Amino acid sequence: MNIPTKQITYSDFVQDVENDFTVSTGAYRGEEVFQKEIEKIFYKTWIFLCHESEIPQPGNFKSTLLGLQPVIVTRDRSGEIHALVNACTHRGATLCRKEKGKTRTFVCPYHGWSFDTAGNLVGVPDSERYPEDFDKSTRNLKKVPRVASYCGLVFGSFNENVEDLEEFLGGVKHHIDIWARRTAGSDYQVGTPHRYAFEGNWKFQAENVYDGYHPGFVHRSAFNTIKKFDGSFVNRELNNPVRQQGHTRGYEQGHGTLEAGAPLESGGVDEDVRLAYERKLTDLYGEEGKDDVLTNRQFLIFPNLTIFDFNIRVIQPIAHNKTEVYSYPLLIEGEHDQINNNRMLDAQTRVGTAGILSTDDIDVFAGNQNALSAVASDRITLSRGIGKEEVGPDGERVGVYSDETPQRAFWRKWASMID
Amino acid sequence: MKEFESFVYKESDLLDQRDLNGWLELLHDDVVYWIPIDESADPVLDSSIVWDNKVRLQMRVDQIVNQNRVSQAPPSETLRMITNLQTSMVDDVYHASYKQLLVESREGDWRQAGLGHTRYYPGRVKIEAVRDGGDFRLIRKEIILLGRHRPFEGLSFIL
Repeated sequence: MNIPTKQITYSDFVQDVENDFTVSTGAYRGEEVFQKEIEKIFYKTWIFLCHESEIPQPGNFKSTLLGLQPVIVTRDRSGEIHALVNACTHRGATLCRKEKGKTRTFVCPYHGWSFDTAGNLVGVPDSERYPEDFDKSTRNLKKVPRVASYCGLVFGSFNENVEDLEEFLGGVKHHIDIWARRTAGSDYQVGTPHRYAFEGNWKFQAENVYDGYHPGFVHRSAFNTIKKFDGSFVNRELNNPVRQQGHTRGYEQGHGTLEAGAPLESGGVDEDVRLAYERKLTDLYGEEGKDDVLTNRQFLIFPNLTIFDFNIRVIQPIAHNKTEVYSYPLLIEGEHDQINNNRMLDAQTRVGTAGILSTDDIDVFAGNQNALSAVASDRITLSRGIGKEEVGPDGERVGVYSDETPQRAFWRKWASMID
Repeated sequence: MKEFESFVYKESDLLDQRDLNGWLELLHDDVVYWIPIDESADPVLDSSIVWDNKVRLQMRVDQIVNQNRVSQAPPSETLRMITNLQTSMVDDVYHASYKQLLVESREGDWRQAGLGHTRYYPGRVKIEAVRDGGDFRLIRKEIILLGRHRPFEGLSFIL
């Protein structure tokens, strides 16, 4: 007798009806939905691999994960960037054990097969014992089929038929362009990442980066302290628990942004240094363009790359209830030391491993995982601003600073891919 | 040197007792508190877990003691086990180096995610202090943790 098994339609987890938007808590827990996300999202769309400045020269490499698949991102002798599956084609051993470095070849620790930085098999010890017609070129490292970059951000995809990177970026491209202008005509140089982990689902961090509703509560302690220490932050609207300036935006491609509507900088930069930097921006982009560039802006490129003015963060899923975050400070090549020291300290003191903000966020995320661990808490609500946001002709939705507009964009995209 | 050794133990005891305001009084105005990711890197130019001056340490203490910081409610209890303590003096600066096992645990409902762990932070510590009248003042502390390049969970207390 055949007993029909109940087929779960995961897209039903997201309920997007008039004036209400809710998500089943089942989307945050359990190995099954997690594996589905890796397979249907992380292996199907574009995932951030590295910033070009991490592998500046031929021979530079970085070992990382694309979804859960270990890959090596390399720059080969001709300067081309590759993403190679970090598994020897002989017997499957992990080839590269270092996080980053420079090399001419990767030599397998198991039987000594060696591969160049483009992934070609170049050495097989004692190869005479293979058949005469054994063709080494059929045993090159497996490659991530699509690799592309935009403004120095390198992405890869296991999906050969994925849309072009710029099409995928869609509405958020405009925000990346503005973010890139902060270098005032120079380039970003990423530093060593701060790394932290939490016992919770990766989407808690993804939903948090453009959440303008939480700072006055989760970060009240930090803001109260900042108010007591003059000059430690500038132009922060610290007295209002729910900020009234600024915007949130959501895009059909799943990306979303949060803009403060004003600059938000920590102190420690002399007035003349700040003015010289701002003058460069005005010369390049005009007065209005300068203000746009200096507006505090943080956004998520679906599904797991966060971009801030002073750092980029990779949200790495490890398991359904375990996540790691790699938070890279962004320095500006050739910029004044004070500006760069300030950017370094912003990334460190605010959102680093021991940050005065990020450690409070992740404590809440672990608490979320705890609260949503059983079925009695069945749905979470993301209805803030629904029906009150502006919708543009290209599908861009614009809400106020504390609206859940970008979170809804995230979940709509999630639901469209997950089954 | 016996007095300086007592200072080394007192500094870690005040942290373990959560007497953070008492601990701040031990700090020189020019104190540097460094927990590197890469101890050979310049903390001005590349990331550290913590690279604090006195104001930033005062801010951390204020956030924990006076502002009911979310990730310290419930708070961390810590024990610092110190061994292999060696002391010396160079040009009026007192130096100490020791190995430390910092053990941390948070109170609260241990069955909840994020709580209920006893976490271990082994590392090498270097301290420098100067005399200020009869008292010592900490001018530098470096904590070189094992596994410092890996992700940590919840460093919301003073390490």
